[in-house]
Amino acid sequence: MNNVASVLSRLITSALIIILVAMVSYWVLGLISPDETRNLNLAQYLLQVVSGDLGQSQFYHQANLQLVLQVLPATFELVLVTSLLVVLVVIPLGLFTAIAPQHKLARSIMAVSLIGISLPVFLTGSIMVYFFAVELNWLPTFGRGTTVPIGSWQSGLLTVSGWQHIMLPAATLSLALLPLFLRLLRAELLQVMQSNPVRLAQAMGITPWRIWLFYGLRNATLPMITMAGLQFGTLMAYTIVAESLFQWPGAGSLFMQAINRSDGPLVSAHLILVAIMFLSVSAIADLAYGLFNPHLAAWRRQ
Amino acid sequence: MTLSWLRYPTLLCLCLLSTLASANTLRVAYDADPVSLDPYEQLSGGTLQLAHLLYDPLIRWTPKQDFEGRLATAWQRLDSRTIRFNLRHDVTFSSGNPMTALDVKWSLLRAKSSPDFKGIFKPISQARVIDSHTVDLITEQPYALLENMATQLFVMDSLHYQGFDHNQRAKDAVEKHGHSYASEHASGTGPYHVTQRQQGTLLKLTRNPVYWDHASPGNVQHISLTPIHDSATRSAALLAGDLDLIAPVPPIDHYRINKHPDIQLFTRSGARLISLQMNQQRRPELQDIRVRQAIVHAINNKGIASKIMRGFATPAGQQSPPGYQGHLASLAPRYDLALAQKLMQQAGYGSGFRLSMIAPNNRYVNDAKIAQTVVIMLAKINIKVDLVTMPKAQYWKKYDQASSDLMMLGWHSDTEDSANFSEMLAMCRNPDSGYGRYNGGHYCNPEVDRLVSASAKQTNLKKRTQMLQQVEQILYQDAAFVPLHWQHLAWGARKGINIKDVLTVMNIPYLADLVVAQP
Repeated sequence: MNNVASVLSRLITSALIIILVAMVSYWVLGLISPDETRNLNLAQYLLQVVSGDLGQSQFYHQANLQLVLQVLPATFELVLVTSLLVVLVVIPLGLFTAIAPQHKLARSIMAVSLIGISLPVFLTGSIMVYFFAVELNWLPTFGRGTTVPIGSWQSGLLTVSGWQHIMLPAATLSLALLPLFLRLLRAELLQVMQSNPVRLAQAMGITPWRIWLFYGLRNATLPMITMAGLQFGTLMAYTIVAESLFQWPGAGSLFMQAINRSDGPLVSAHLILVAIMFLSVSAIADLAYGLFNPHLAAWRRQ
Repeated sequence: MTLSWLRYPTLLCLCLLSTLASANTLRVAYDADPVSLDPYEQLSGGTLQLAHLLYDPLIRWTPKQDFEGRLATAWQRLDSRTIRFNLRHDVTFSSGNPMTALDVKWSLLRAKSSPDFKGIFKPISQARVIDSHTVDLITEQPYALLENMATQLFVMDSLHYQGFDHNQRAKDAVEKHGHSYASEHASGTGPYHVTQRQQGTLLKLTRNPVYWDHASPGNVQHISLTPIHDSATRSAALLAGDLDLIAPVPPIDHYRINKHPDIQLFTRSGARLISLQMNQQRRPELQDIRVRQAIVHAINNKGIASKIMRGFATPAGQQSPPGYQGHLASLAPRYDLALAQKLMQQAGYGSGFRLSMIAPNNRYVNDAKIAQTVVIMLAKINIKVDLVTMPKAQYWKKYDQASSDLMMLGWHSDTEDSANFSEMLAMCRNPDSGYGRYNGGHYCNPEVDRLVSASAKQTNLKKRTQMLQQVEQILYQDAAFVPLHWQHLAWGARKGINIKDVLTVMNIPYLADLVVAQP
């Protein structure tokens, strides 16, 4: 019973947030393309949005929803590979810096990670391009490379050229997110290692690796999930910069072009869609939190 | 064993090299995507560049600024109103239809119906078909620039664009941003056919196997055109070997591109004038010729050209760049701060006033930086400027409404002739005739109007030159606008691509004639 109520209240809040965002996007629409709002008042606009009609782009003469959905696979794959890179780098580095906090290498990792958090994405991106594309000539500078259609989904993750092309933008984006997660994981691990269950486990003679991975990491993962949900918004903002820099044909590029072309309907539709994505991701993060958290799981069993 | 990790980067490099070796494809990136395949949908440099690849005009400018026959083998002036063109017999459109005089007539009619092009083709009253391969272009009145017009008359396939498309829209419709049939389907006589098009992402062209111009030395079989909006990304892609040819190259990257052993930079003086319009309609102060002179004298356009444009521009004192009929060498840039301050005092504005100003931030090279510098320079004569810069999409709406006191405008003559500057920027604004369409300053001098109109009918070159030079002299004395500089052109290319051999002063590369040295 309690469950149903919480889901219901969550749905109602989400709907309210989307309506609020729709109001803002109506205002943005009027700001960029005043002609569009002349024969369309706020109530009519909201009704359209609620019925799933996000209008038509002035430039492309196509439905906004369809336009964004067409380019969303590119952005999704970029976000996916970025997250993968973050996870692959953060877990070993986080473990290492927490297990041997005084080690010289651990200290330098923490110091270098400060650079990642303090440099803006367009700068790290330009530096990466300079080294890996211009000087070393290892990776391509722009575009998505060859894509393969899987149904209506154009995927770049099935070709060598696609992977070559995704490396620089994904690495750039993950550099911006890495330090935060690395520091969080390290702090959490240090804390967990001091906790009673871990001490008990150590006293029982369980191997250190087992303690680190199963007691430490698992407990430290929880705040990471919350943080990942919160950082999704930041990642969306960064993808706009990275996509423009690497000419990545995704939703961020589409959004920038729409702004440059004064395509009001597309800009406002994009705002609403980003709000919906944001809400879905935080819902997923909360669900995942419930799954991973033993307290919640135990409470559910009762 | 320890060196085995080196294998992967090396393999990768080999892969990249192998793509370079297939030099049949020329990989080009511009700053923007041509919005349409239709040569008459949008008047812009991008459209013209593409039109020369998919279509042919009757005649064209050579890189050395002469006329050269294309679809016309010969042409002669019959009288002051008529030029007769003899057309090639061996030309077919990509649909397979043969090209005849009827196509020329139909294309002219279509151009005259296009909102963007009707102004340009207004002087031509009709195309008279003499026989299947002879056509006369006739003007309403004696007209000196008929040949210049013919360079813009791209011939389209009149039979192909008959009837309706699957949306029941007429195939010959010209609709701006309307995704009309012609904007997505090209049937021209040009050197290339479209093989793939993803708007905003990629345009792939393949050489026309039956192109009529067998004398062309060009050896580029395939072209891929990618729009890359970010200028740093564009330069990096060229430096990394992902591209063969880019334009424009921002001044800040010139040094790096020049220094690179496998890449060359090509710059040349251009004919695009960057200017400021002083809106007399909004501000009575600007109606005072002394105030306008003071503003012109307060702006150090030589400094802008050398410091902000890094020498990538020629400071201007008039509209017409050197080489144009109206250019007067004596009209040099004026910068004299003491004189400017004196003029302000004489006009009674010693303590200054406020002006609003707008400028685009993604249209001209360094546009926003130039505008910011102007703000600082005008502060020295106590004019406080409130500057707003914006993307070009918003900018042109504001400009059309003349909604600010100072407005930046760049102009490249549509006809490669001095008169076009004056017709569009200096003549009194007249919505019926279209003259003064971009005269954001609302400057109006009947003498200028009289001289420019007379020059259009004057076919005696010497007299016409005098008239156009007189116009420049008057505009200079009246300080009708603030001339800043003529923007230069810059292309970056892989070694072996001699873009300068095929590039016109209008910044149109004839890529079909480009000879790429095989590595």
